[in-house]
Amino acid sequence: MYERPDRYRLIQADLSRRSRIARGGGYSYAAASFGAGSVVQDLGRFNRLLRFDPTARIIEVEAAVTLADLLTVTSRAGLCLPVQPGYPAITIGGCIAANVHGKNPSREGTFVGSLVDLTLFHPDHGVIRVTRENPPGLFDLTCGGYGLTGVILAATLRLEPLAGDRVSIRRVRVGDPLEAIALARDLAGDSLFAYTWHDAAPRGRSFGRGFAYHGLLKSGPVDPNTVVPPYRVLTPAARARLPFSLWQSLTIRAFTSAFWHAEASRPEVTETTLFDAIFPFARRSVYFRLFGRPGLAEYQALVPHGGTETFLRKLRQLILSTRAPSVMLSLKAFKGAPRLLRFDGDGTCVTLDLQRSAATLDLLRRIDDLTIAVGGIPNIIKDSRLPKPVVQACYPEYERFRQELRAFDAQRIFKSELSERLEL
Amino acid sequence: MYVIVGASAGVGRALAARFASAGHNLILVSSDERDLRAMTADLEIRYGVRAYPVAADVSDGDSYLDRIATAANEMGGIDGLLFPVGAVAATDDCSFDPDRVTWLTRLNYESIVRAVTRFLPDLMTRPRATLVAFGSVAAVRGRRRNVAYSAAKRALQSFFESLRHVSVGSSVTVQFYVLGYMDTALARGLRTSIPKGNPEVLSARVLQNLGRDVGVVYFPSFWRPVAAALRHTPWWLFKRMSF
Repeated sequence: MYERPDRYRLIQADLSRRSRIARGGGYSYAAASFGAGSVVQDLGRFNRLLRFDPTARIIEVEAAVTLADLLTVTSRAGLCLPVQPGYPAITIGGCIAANVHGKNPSREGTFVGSLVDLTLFHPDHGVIRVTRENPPGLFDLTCGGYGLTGVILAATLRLEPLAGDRVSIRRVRVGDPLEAIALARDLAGDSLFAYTWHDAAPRGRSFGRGFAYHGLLKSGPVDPNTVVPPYRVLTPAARARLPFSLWQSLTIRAFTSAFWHAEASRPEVTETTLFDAIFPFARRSVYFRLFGRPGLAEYQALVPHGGTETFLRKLRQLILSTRAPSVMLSLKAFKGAPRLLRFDGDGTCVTLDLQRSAATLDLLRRIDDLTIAVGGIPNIIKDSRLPKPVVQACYPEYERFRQELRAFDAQRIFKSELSERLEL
Repeated sequence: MYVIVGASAGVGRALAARFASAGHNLILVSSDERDLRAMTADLEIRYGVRAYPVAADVSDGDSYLDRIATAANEMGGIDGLLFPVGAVAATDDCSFDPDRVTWLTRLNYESIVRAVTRFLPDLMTRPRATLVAFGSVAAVRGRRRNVAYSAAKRALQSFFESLRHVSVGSSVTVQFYVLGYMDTALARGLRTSIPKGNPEVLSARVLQNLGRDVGVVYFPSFWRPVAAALRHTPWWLFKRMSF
């Protein structure tokens, strides 16, 4: 059952004891906003700005306000959100539920750092204002709680000054991911973003060649009228319109090779808009469309610094031995404190994109073992097949999350495919 | 400054956003106080206009009209009133629950008539003013369903036709939009192959038509010939139809 309420009383309507789950933009790679037997409450109409205090750098918004919307409004006052995940139509409620990260988590941390307080609805508890202190534990359980504590109605966010809307990008060529580990960490510093891109097509000689990208915001005027340019919002139907995937072994090699050569021939320093820098796929959604109906599989792991080299060496061996259709690999430095089921901590964030296939699923099972072996954590919101034993083995506070969730919601009303798969 | 009665959801919400984006100050009336507060805050932050909330159940007396009048005086007078207000009831099926019939009639017809009656003299003194009401294709012919709702909407259309006549030669423009199925909560759960109208598109049309003597507008426009065909369907055939 799918609902699209447009008034608070409809969200709070009596659904008796039926399981339910809130849905924001629907951009998570895992099935966090739907599940068998759960009423889906699409919060799309709850996209209003409730309070904006530019002097205090605070804004309160409803859960379905998007990152693009927020950037448009806050940029008028020379402000922006410090943490911006990669797609402009992602909602604030989704950012909180998955405790997302942006382009430079080693500098700005994860979304929880921008969150002042939130408003939550649960049928048994009513509408609750949740601060970091009160009710005890609920803030941490909700931020990175995958929507399982209730419907996030609104949130107050901390903003930071926005110095300009142009970004200077420096590109450094790297031979392979191992060479890029230290670079990704060193470049992060105070930059707007720092990440690497690697050709992950399963071929021996040039596997892993790539570039490190380092973006710096250029000081200058911000034009609120153009800070969010027109872009075609990617919908689930549009993304899966192609009945087959164009990312096959031959095309992967051709595309990644062409991309590498195109990048290599560009000047070392280029300039782009803030929008294209923080949302690189918003106007290049063809990347996702090419995965067609079979879809994209992404694996993202946060690997401790000490285990990164081992992880990358073995990952390369696995990709080359399984010949799974991997497309690209990326590294990003991370700094933070792990808690409950949040994807947070110190280390290197390794992301691998693949075309979904039987070989891919086999490879991902093996990467699970590798992640456990090096003491890493997989990103729950990025992986739609992540099994419970892996999450249990990687997240030391898995059991604590379950217990605290049950202490708050003994009936476990909020359920999704993700929560059922992980037995949360 | 425009008054929108029934502003916090569906067509009313789209109208409020559209008018605010064009720089118009607004008085917004709705029974959903929390949604209304959220909406007025949003319009003020987003568009820099003034949006004044009046939380009221319009089927429950006229006292809210005094609050509109007071706010309108502060905001420089009313340039137009729009009434995207309305409700249907699942039990509106000739079971003739008197309270339900009274409520539907009050909400869909009487409350609008009383508001227009209250503010029309003031509107006549303005250099330019617009009155806009919204009917429904459900009122084209009486059916087994939405009995009192359809009757109220047909009465409303007749009232606005009279208003249009009364207003000839004055500064007031009277418009009536006959709406087909709209993509709003009112049509939630309605399974139909007939395309639903987009409230955003409708709101743009209403804004564009301000001050123009457009009379009766069907939205989406394909409903005009459909309504005409329904109106002329002979009884022997109509009585066999189930919709």
